[in-house]
Amino acid sequence: MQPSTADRELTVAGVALRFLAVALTLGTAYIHSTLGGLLFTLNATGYLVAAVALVVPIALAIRFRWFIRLGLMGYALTAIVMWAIQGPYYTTAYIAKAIEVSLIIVLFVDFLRADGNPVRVVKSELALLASKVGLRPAPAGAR
Amino acid sequence: MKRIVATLALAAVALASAACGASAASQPSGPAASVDPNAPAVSAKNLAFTPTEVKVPAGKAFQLVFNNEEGLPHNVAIYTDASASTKLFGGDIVTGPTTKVYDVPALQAGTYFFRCDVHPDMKGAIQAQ
Repeated sequence: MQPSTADRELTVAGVALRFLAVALTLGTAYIHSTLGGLLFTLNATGYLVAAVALVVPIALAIRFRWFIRLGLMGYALTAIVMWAIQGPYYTTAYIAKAIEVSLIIVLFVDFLRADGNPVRVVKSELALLASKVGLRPAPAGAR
Repeated sequence: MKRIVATLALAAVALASAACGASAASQPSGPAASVDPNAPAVSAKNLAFTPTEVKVPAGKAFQLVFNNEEGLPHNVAIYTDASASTKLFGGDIVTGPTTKVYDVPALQAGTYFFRCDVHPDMKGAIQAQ
């Protein structure tokens, strides 16, 4: 029998991956919080909220952990692209971006382990959403 | 699959570790050994420059004393205009409180734009005359 997502998250590897993801998220949040200015402070706050969302034991967060992982990957990727466009390019920024690249890799691995193929998960969730709003019947095996 | 996951996780850890090992590489140096006593000075405090208008000699290289008075990373970067599309000089980013003396290449007579590259809202004008 295929274990549920929550079951699969409770392995040593799962806990280690989640710990690593939270540590990396808090690391880049801390760096951004030391830079001053509204934009960096908001960015740090976003990372902090995401770090909490990655581990908070609330049913809604657990149900949509896949979305939190994808969202944080997109958030980090956006931060990297924005930095690549406008800089500034100096040591602290390189450290922050290396952490963000690492974070994306860890989140991707965690996603594969906990949720499976991202494309399939998104398709399944979109189909489920469509069924809930009455656009089509619920897919087999919907959560 | 497990091997791929482990490899990717190790790569991420190695990348983060390498990044942290590179810290403190650009710590600010103190004031230069010989500083022109008439060198113009700019201070950074509360995410703003003081003064916001600086006069410098035209046509010859000069020193610019940058006092970063707060514990945030700042620099002084000089551009042709406020669009900040053409950089003429980019000072090292330093985290205060510290003082950095920049050796700025000669500017032709005219008005130039300067800003902090980390916080672009910190800006001012340089008049070369």
